[in-house]
Amino acid sequence: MRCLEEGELRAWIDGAAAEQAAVGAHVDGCAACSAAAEELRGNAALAATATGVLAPPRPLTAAEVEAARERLAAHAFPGPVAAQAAAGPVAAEAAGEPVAAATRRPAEASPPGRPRRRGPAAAWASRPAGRAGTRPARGWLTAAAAAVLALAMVATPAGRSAAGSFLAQFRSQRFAVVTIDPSQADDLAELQRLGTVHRDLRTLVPRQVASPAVAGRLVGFPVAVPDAAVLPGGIDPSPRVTVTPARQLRFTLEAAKVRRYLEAHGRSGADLPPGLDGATLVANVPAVALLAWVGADGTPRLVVGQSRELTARAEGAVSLEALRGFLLGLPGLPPQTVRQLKAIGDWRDTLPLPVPADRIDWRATTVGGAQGLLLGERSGLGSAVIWQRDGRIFGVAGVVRQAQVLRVAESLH
Amino acid sequence: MRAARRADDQARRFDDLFRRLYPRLYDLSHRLLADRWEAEDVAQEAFLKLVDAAVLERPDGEVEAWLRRVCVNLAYNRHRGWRRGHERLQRLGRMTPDGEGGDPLGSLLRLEERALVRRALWTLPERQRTCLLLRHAGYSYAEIAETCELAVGSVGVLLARAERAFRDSYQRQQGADHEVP
Repeated sequence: MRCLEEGELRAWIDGAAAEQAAVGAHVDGCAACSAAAEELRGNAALAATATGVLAPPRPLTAAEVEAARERLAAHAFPGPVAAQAAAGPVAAEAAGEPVAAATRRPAEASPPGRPRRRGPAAAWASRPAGRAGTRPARGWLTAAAAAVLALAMVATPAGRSAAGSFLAQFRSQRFAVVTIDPSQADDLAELQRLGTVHRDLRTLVPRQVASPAVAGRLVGFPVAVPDAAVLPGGIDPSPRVTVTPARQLRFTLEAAKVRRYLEAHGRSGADLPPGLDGATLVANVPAVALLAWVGADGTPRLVVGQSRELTARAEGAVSLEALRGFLLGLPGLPPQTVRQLKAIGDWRDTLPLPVPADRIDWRATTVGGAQGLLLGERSGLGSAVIWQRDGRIFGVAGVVRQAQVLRVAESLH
Repeated sequence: MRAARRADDQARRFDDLFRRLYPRLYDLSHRLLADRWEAEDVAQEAFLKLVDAAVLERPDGEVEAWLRRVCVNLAYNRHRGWRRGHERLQRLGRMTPDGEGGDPLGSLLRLEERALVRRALWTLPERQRTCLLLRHAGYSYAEIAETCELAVGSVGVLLARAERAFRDSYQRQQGADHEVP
């Protein structure tokens, strides 16, 4: 038998070769094919192990599969189940709950004499808001809560845009939206190409506590709560209260890495600012108190977060302004993000909030006289407001309309 | 009367297919998107597309291959769209007590490893990436051939190339990460 192509060998390894026994016999007697098969086996094992982390952490339960099936069947095939499911958005709206714009469309008329079978597009567009339709918003809700608490800037860290704000004796006093391009590469990896990120992973552990008062003792200030009267309907009235401890993140620039980065972008031999090597940006992330109200399905519908200000400082001999200018001038950064960061005049006290521009709209607002930002997911499913007052950052986010997050925000006491 | 019975039969078949195939499609979508909610949405959207699709009249094997193709396409479309920016924020969301898994340190390490694997995977040509993910999600050569629309005999060579390219890219990414103590 002739020596084998690597495709045949690869199939043989998986027991899928057309002539399994013959291939095996050849490999046993052929050093070259045996070596090739060994390499392919190694590659396959690496791919299997590595991609294993992308698998779901656990399989779906039968109940989860059944719940998903019922949601879809209700829309795909009209009938008693469909009628029951279709009542979902209506009932939710009557209870003051948000309903996606698509779900409020008047029902299309069925042709007389036979049940109307809805097309998949219509069926998908009219998913009940409280079920599958809220999923993107739910992810966004927790994300918004995190952004509200300024953690998104440092815990990821959102690197290229965040770097600008870390370059100073920084104290967050106001916010500026910096739009991010969803196609940007992973920021953490980019940041690590310039130096070393030190994070105290242990302190990421959030702690559930009994009440806002207990949370207040842990974060060091009284935790404000909203009026029960302005909370959305259909939620458990007792919030789940958690506290994430304060922590520190340090990012130390390394000249050798910066030089390699510059060389990779065609700028070998570039001058580095004196004192750059070893300059460290230190971000102090405050303790955060989170109050979360959950709906009947156990998912959070409204989150109120509070913390002290985020502060940052630079350690080392380099001038802060020179360092900021140097980093913002690095090649390979998204020009639009750099332009926005450079345009922040009060960069020593303005915290850039990274916002995916294709998903979220925002506008300036005031809460109790303090300036803030009102953010809304374009689908209309989620809203958030963030503001700062008396040295504290406040945020309210939820699967509710913008008017409702503002009502909750105004009622905090 | 006959039309009503036919509609009932169709609904029953839809249910059977869903119960049987949805968990596997969810698993595949999760490997493509690395996010539970996105994976569920993609798998469910594929089934919604099936409702009016002519393939629903075909044998189960053809329906399954069709659903897999739709899932893969939907997942890539999402990835090309807003996915990556959103993911960056969601990563934070998952660190809250509402996220998957109760061990935040473990979660963070998993997220970083996932990010590394995804970066390596996304350097591969789309067809190689799909082939590799399908194989390591447990699909047979025949199923991979149906999904990628190629001859069964060509799966081995595509897979060998994909795994070699993945190894090289993964090691490069790992090397970059290991520079950071």
